[in-house]
Amino acid sequence: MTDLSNGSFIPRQGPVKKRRRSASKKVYFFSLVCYVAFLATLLGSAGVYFYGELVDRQLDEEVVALNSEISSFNEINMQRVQEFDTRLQQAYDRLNKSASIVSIFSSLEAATINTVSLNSLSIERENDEVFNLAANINTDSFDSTIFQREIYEGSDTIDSVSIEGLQSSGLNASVSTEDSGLESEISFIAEIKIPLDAVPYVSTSVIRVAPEFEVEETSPLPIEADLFEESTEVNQDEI
Amino acid sequence: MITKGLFIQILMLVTSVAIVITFIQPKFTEITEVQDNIATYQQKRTEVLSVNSKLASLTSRLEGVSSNDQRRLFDYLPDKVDSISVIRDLYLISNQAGVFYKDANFAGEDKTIEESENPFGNPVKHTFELSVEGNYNQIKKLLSLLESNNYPLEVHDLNIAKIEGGFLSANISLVTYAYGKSNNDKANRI
Repeated sequence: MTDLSNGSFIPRQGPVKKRRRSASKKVYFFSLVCYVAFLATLLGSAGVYFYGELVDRQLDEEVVALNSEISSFNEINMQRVQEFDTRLQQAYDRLNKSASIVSIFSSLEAATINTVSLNSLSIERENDEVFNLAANINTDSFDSTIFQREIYEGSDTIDSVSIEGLQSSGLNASVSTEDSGLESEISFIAEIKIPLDAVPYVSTSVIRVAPEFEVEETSPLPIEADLFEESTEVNQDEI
Repeated sequence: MITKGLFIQILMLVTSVAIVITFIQPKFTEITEVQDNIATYQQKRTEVLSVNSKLASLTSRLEGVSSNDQRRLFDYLPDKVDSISVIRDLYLISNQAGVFYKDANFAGEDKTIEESENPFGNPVKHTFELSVEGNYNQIKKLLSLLESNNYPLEVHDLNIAKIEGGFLSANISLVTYAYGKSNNDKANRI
């Protein structure tokens, strides 16, 4: 029988050839990786370069836009607005701290009993917070003094009251004041504190004295009693 | 032995790595920085835009304030207090109240008031002394008229005492204000 394997003109595939084929596959894979990496690097470089140019242009545009916005800022208008706002704020602040002395007088009128009269009155405004009053008061008895103090203490407007410098004259018990012809007299100084908030000024209308000299008369509170006029009537019981 | 093809492939790989290290990576870093800068510029531009639009709105509101109201505000808090005008006003108010006007004078300007943290600053205090005589109702009317004036005439000190003939003498310390520059304004000037 003929040995067909040796006689054949077709080369036989042996294990060596298989090995070679697998080796050539490895080389091809490595080549592919190399080509792809190189190509990707080149493309990436180009892309990065152009993208860099793009963002540079964007940055330039942003800088130009920012400079344009900054140059459109009107500093004169800003100063005008700031100054007006400051002036308005200061005026508002002063308005909020405005107080009515007339209201203080009205409160004193309401809280002063008929048997007392004021010799003098001083009012001092302290730090936009409180009015310190010192009223030099005359009355006819200690009872009136105590009663007056109680009335002041009970007033809604008055924050605190203290009686200082109490002096008495003509109070001899053995001699009737009518017989002796002398009037009994107690004098003291009432130191009163009235918070600014308790006597706010409520605007009714504004008077402009100058330059037109037009005066619009207003009287926010009725002017009735006279604190400095001594009353002869005693109405402590009524109060 | 390394074949020529393999050598070229290795060279390509090395070149690729070198390009990545020396060009692409630094460029990426640079692009990131530029992008950050763009974001910052955009943010600042938005802020400037916001300030500009706010300023435009405020300017429009300011121009919308009537001249009458502006005049009232400037009357209430003028740039400068004219002491002669104030004394003249005190005289006119005294006459209006019916009190006997004795004297009025300008006691001085107090620039030292409360250098506080108030960002709006403080108005400048101007003190005037007014001496009058009259009855109780007249003095009360005077005080009422002072309160109703078109600029502040705050009573900071008042002394009333009885005098002869049933009349009262009143010495009044009055304070009015001029606009004081705010701390911001001062800073801007500097």
